[in-house]
Amino acid sequence: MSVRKRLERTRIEESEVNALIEKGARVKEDHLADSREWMYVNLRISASMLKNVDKCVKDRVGIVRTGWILEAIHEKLAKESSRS
Amino acid sequence: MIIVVGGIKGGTGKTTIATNLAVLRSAAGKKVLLVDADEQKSTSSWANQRDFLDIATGWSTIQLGGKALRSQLERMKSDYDDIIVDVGGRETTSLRAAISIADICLIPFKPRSLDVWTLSDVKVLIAEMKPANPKLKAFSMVNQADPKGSDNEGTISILQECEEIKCIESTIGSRKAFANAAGDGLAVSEMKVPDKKAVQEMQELYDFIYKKCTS
Repeated sequence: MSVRKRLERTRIEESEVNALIEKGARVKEDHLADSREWMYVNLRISASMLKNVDKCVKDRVGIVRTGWILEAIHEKLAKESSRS
Repeated sequence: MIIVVGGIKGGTGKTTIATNLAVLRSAAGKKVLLVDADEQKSTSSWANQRDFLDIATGWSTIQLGGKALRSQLERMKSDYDDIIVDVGGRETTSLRAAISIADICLIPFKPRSLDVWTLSDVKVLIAEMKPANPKLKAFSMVNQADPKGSDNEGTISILQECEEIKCIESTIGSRKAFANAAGDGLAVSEMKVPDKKAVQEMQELYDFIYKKCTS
């Protein structure tokens, strides 16, 4: 047969489903999920600054470099939010 | 089978329906999961009341919500014969996520204008979510029906105009038995002195969903 009906897409992609779901009002669980979700960033930092960070980390017990940097970010965010 | 009792209007008796269906389904020997996805957590309060009063409960009740509800239900559905999700009366990510994976979406309406006016928005929502879940069957019904007067029939005739959401003709009346049973952590079918009409109405709804819909 030379004439055929156009095939319709019956199901949408998972990303499109998620987009439809996210059109709804966010609830507490969404905010909690966001706070538990980890994102990755590449941080460009000078060798000397990193050396200083590592020196501070070495002086502290039970903290690694990532923890120390996160702590610094928390302190900065707290300072910024108290200003606004 | 996953059933969502939802809608975008609060106070339509979604929790009463979800909890009573869970009791009846469990009594039929099915492994049931009752999901409280309503921010008011009324289903959980009812389940806690059962626990406090040491009432035998043959199913599990959990609190879930948000956009992750879809993946969580997807993971759990093979562990249960039936999942019943009670979603609060607001258009949230929880409601949309539940609709995206449910077999049946049951939307109760009170026989009042303000309630019926939400039908057009519910219709848009169901139509929007349908491509995400082509197997979804959506039903409307009158809950908390008046004992007399013409408002029940008027509401049914408006609900029947919507072809995308089929209206179930049997109604559930505005009966004190539902509230009294809930207060005792019970379903109407579990009361010591059951209100026969209330039990019959809930049984009719149960039969429609679990017998007619699935046959």
